[in-house]
Amino acid sequence: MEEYNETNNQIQNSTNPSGVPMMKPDNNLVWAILCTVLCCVPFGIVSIISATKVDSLWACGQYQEAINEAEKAKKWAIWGAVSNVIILVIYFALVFGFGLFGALMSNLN
Amino acid sequence: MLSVLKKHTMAILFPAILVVAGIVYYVLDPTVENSWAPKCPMKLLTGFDCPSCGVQRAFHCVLHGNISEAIHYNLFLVISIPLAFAVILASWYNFNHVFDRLERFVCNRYVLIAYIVLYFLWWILRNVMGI
Repeated sequence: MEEYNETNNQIQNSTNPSGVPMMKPDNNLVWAILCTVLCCVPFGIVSIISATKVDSLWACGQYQEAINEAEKAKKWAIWGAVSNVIILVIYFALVFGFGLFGALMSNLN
Repeated sequence: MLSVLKKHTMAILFPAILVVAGIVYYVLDPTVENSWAPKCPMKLLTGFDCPSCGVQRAFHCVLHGNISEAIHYNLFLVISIPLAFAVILASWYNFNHVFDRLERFVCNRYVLIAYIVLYFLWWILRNVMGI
């Protein structure tokens, strides 16, 4: 039973007992590059750096680390895109807010 | 069948996105003041150009066949667009390993380091020299 659990655990870590790796994770480089081309906030660079680590870590047999870096690459590419939208929304909320405030104040005077 | 579809989602979606974006930016003119095109948050907040500023204007110009004006809006696209297309081919269209060599090239550490260095160099130069 213990042996079974151990094997199961290793499979979850993406290696099987013979040490032969399962599928290599997608390094998400495509999203990283697209993020640097299309987005203003340079999180895409962080994403590229993570994406480059995936293949070399996988080649070194550090499978769990490779999977983590692939996830990190994806996460930063998403944040690169989302942060643009967040900043724009905050900016327009502020502009609109101040405009409204100014209009109210001038009405009061 | 579903797994095959899921595996090739982006291979199918990408041309569709490109066509829709092409129609939108053919009609929408971001080169004029007060257009509906979204503004760069970096430019709004700091007044500095970001490395991607001018991409929408450049896309509009390319769609109207005006390549030289497109390059004028963002010179870095000369490097970033070919790289982006290479990565897209290597990750979404690598059927039967036809783009394996291309994949090795774009995933090469030194190619990506060069890209990152050029990115920051472009960012500084365009704000200092106004290109």
